[in-house]
Amino acid sequence: MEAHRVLVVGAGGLGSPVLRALAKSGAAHITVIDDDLVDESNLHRQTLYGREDVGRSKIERAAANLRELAPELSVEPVDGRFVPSTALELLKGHSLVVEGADNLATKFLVADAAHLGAVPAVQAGAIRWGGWAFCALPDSACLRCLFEDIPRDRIETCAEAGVVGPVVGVLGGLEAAFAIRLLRGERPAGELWHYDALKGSLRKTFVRRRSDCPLCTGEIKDLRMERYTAACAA
Amino acid sequence: MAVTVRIPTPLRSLTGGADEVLMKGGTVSEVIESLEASHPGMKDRLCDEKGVRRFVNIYANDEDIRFLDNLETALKDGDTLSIVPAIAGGSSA
Repeated sequence: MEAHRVLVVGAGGLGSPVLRALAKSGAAHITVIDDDLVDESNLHRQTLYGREDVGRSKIERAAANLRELAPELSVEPVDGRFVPSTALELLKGHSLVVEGADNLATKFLVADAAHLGAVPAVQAGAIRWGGWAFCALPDSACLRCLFEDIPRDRIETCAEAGVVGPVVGVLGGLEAAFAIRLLRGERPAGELWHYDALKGSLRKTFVRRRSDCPLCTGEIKDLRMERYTAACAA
Repeated sequence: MAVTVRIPTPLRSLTGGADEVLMKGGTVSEVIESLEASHPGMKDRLCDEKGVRRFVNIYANDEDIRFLDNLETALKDGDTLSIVPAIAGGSSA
C-alpha cells in the first residue's frame, strides 16, 4: 500500500473522513484539491478542521492537519476547483481518485476523467439523512451507468437542503473503506452502498454496465467544458 | 398486490416524511401511478415523457429495473421498490 498515491477531490464533509483514514492507512501520497475556506458552519461535519481553522484555506489547513496526523505522509494541496481543462493532468500519477464534491457537475467530471484516465473512482453523495457511495473501476459500471447524465432540474444540493453531520461522516467512511480496499488490491467494482440514517439502514446493491452508457461505450472521449457547464446552466 | 416503496430523503416531503409507503400495482408503472394518486407530484419527480428520469434509479428488489422490463417490470405481493436519485453534497455547504 505504501506506493499508492490518491487524489481527493473536495476537502469538506466527505473529504474529511477520507483524508484522515487514508493518511493513517498507509497511502504514501495524497493530493487534495478544494477552493473553499473553512467556515464555522462546517465544523460539525468537516472533522478535519477546528475552530482555529475558521476563515483559512481548507486545503492549506487540511494539509497541515494531515501532516501532523501522519508526518510520513506526502501531501500536495491544490488550491482550486477540479475542472475539465486540468482534470486529466491532475489525475495523472494517482492510483485512484476519491470524490467528495458538493455538486453533480464535478461528480460527473470526476467519473469521466477517471474512466478516460483508467483510474478507479470512489464517489458519494449525501443530503439530509441519507446518501450513497459508489466504486467504479475502469472496466466496471461507472457513474453514468448509474445516473446517466447531470440532472438539469430540481436537484437539491446539501447547501440548499442541508445534510446531517454524521451522514456525511458515514458516507465519507464508506468511501475511505472503498479506497483502502482498492489500495489492498480488492475490486469492489460497481458496488453501490445506500445509507439511510433515519432508518438506520445500510444496503449494498451492484450497478451493472449499461450497454448505451456514453462513457463506457467510448462516446465520451474528452472532457469538453460544455458537457459540464451546459448541464449546470440549464 | 401490495408493494413496499422506499422513499429517499429528497422525496419525503411528498410523503409527509414517510420513508416507506405501501402501494398497489402489478408493475413498476402501476405502482408509480398509485404513488402519484396518493402523493401528488411524485410521478413528475420520477418520470419524464421518455420514462424514468435519467438521474433517478429504481430498483425492484435490489435489481435496477433498466435491466429488467423497465417500467413494465412485473411486481408481486411483498416486493420492494427502491428509488435512488442522484444527489450532490459533500464538500461544502
